[in-house]
Amino acid sequence: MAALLVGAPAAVAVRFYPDDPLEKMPPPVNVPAAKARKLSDYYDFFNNTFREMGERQSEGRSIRAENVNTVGEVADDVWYTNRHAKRRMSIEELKRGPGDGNAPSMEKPWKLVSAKAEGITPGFTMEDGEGRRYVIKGDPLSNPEMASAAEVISTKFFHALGYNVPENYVVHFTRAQLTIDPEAIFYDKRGQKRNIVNNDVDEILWAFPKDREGRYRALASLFIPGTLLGPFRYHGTRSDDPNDVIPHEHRRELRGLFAFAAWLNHSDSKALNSMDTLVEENGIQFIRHYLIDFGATLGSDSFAPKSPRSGNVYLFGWKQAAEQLFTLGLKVPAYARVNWHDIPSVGRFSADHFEPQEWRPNYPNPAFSNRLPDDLYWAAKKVMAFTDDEIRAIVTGGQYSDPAAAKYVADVLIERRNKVGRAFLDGVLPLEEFQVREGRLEFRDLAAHYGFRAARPHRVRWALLDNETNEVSAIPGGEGDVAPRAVTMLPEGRYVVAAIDAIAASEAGKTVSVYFRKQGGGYRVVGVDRTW
Amino acid sequence: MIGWAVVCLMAAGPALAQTEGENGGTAGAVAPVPRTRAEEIEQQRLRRLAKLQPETTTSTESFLVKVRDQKLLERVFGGIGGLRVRFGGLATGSGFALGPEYLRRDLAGGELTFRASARASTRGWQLYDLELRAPNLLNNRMFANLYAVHRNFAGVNYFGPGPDSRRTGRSNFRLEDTNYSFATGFRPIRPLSLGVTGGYLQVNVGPGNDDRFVSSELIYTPQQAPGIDRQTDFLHGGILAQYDTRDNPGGPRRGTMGLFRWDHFKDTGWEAYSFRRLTAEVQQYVPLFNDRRVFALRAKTVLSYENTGQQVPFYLQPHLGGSDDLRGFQRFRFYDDNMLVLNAEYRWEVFAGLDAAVFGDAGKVFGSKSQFNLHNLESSVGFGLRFNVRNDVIVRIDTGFSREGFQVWFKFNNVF
Repeated sequence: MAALLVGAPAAVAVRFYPDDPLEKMPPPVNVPAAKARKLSDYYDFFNNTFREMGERQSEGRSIRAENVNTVGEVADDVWYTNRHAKRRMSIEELKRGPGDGNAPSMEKPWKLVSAKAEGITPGFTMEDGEGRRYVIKGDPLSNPEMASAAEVISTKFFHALGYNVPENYVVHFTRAQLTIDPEAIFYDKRGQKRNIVNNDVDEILWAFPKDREGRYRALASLFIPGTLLGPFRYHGTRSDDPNDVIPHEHRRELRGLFAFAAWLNHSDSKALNSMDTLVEENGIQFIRHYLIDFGATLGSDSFAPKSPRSGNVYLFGWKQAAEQLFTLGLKVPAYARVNWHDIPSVGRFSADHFEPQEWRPNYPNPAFSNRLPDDLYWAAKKVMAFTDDEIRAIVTGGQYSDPAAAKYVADVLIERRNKVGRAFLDGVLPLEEFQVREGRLEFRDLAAHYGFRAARPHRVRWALLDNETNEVSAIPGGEGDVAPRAVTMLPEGRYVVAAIDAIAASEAGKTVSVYFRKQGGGYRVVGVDRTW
Repeated sequence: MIGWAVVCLMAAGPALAQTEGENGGTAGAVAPVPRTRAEEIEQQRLRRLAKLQPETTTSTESFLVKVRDQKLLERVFGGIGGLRVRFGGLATGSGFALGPEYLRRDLAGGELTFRASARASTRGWQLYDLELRAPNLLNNRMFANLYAVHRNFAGVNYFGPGPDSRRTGRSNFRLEDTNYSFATGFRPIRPLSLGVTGGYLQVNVGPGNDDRFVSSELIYTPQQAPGIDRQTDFLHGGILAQYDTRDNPGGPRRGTMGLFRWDHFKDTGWEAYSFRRLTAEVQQYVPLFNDRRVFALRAKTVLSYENTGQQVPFYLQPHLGGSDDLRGFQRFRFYDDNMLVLNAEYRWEVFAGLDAAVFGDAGKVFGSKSQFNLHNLESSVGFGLRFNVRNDVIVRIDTGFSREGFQVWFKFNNVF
């Protein structure tokens, strides 16, 4: 705080440009050539479990997210688009998610173009009568509706949260809906590649549960547009993409994804569940980044209900393994004591034991590991933006046949949302919506707004900023919510800083510095800097 | 790497424009000072554009991707055109075994499975078998199985008869047999299977080939080891019932398995070795803490009923000792007409792919049914590690301790 006011380094350039805070990134530079490449699940697991990938935070040196604008937000770009938290989406928009106009057509038979019987989730790729391609995935026989509902619900949440996601639909179909493309390729249980025959289709469909009308229920995932280039990593950059200048472990939306993943129990949030595509718009070829495959969210692990471990510990960790091994298992982890509700279509999903700070994906994710309190605060704001009714509306997209299942999922999501808010909003001073009105500084304390605590006593100190030299000079007597005369008389185009800190000793070190530019007779927020 | 927002906050705009970052341009090249944030970002991208390289993966990752995409593991284990390499599957003590196997699961629209294999081990043991199986007939209500197998096990342990056999009495013998058998049955309700079995068994025993130990026939008489001196054939048949509610037979965490078998072996050669056999086994799995801890219990007995004046040949006697029952004793440590074994394990999850266990085994072999009790049991205790993939145990390492020392078992199966 003091450093900000009096000790800023000597300036050599303007601190704020005229277009700050940038809300939308400039159009991407043309990507001359991008080659598709695949990643290995095992390689990703071992690399991230036993090595520290990417640039990491270190003692005494924290690396803040590098793709935030001057108010700490992510500008719209090929990774991320600000949606619900910035501009409230209607219930209909939330329910629509990434789109609802491309559900597979049932008018004509689906043409099966490839299939696999090996792997943990048998499925197939088909083309509907409109020529659109979909990946079709079934639910586990033991848990009808579970994975498909989880995938559709989470897709809509991740879309509203700002990510690029595919269009996913719950579909019901009969065997008669399927025809076989003569060129269709089939991988049998031994990995043999051959042309598909009717028996293969029957065998795949044995693994699909049926609904009450005797139809197969499954998830249909529309192929995402563009040329598929393979997954993005959660560290480093793509070397063939001129627009990918920020190491992924330092991207705010990937660090903050931790909080979203915790909320939705997306324990399989790994590189392999992402996809880059090469697209062309307005004559410019560029790479867009998607999150895909949400079958292992909520209480689902795609092929089975989530393990009680899931979301609580990594698949492997030296400390936890040694602890379990040498205590002969007598130290029983908390997750092993949870009483799970027995709703097969939900799987294992609960808020009772959920501690957002302690939540873990299946294995370390470099961006998650680099998360800082301001990353989590950014994410928590977006989670808290969903009202109870909005959550309930999105959950209807899962099309649970049992209303109790839908109610349970929504209730758990609401409770987990509140836990995320409680855990992460207070990591920094959760102050937002700054304005200088009638000579007073006004803002909203989000923790108080959401009822997590009483509004906190605070202190405000005012200073002037020379944007050309980046020198900050305290205004004598400029303390309190009421702006001093030097502020109210600020010439057009000049800058002022309101530095806010909490009075409580328990929050020592937490500050928010709000930068205003006198503009059009008012005060425009051009910068927000938080410390903790 | 210097991000533009951090640059903004740290007031280093011109430095970014004129010096080289990780993605920057040539050191010393002076770019125009940006007038807007958008310009600054565009400059950063253009500097990177000049340094683009094809996206690559490491050779290790490329190899792993190739293994996955070309289904190499599936081909190794699944075979090509039905032909594959089959590992193990011989009796414990055989050493490392492998051989070709032809497997077809797609006959009669997937209703029939055909399998044939020939395997040999590092100790010269051999096994050839042929199987035709229909496991899910009539909508999974019925099963049928035809099986023929020839075994030539060159050096099976034999320590002499009864519970009092001495450890120093170790010998070995060759067991060579051919069995033609069938099994068929139905499942009236899901966990219950009822069936009948039958077949013809030809047996030959001879000198063992393990030079470390004496051959059995040199130190044990036919009175001690019935059948050691002459070969015979058996007609056999029986009934079986199994009740199985285990959640996952490959690594159960909850449920019950009960097995009852009654078999009749008729000596068609010398008419000296006819007998009946009762096999009963109960397994119970008691989960605790969301299945993260399991108490696994097993009781198993094999009781033989000889026809008047007949004996159970020593090579068909039940035995104890080894990786699956009394784990602190050597394999095939005890032979007699009857057997009783009790096992208890406490298993706990260490991490997602590994469970640990502590166990206690108790059991005995005995000659007279009057000794069917819990007196004079041999016992062993120990600990183990069980590596699993999706709860199916794929590798088991057990160390058992007994009054005769300790044994370490490395197995590719679950104990029970």
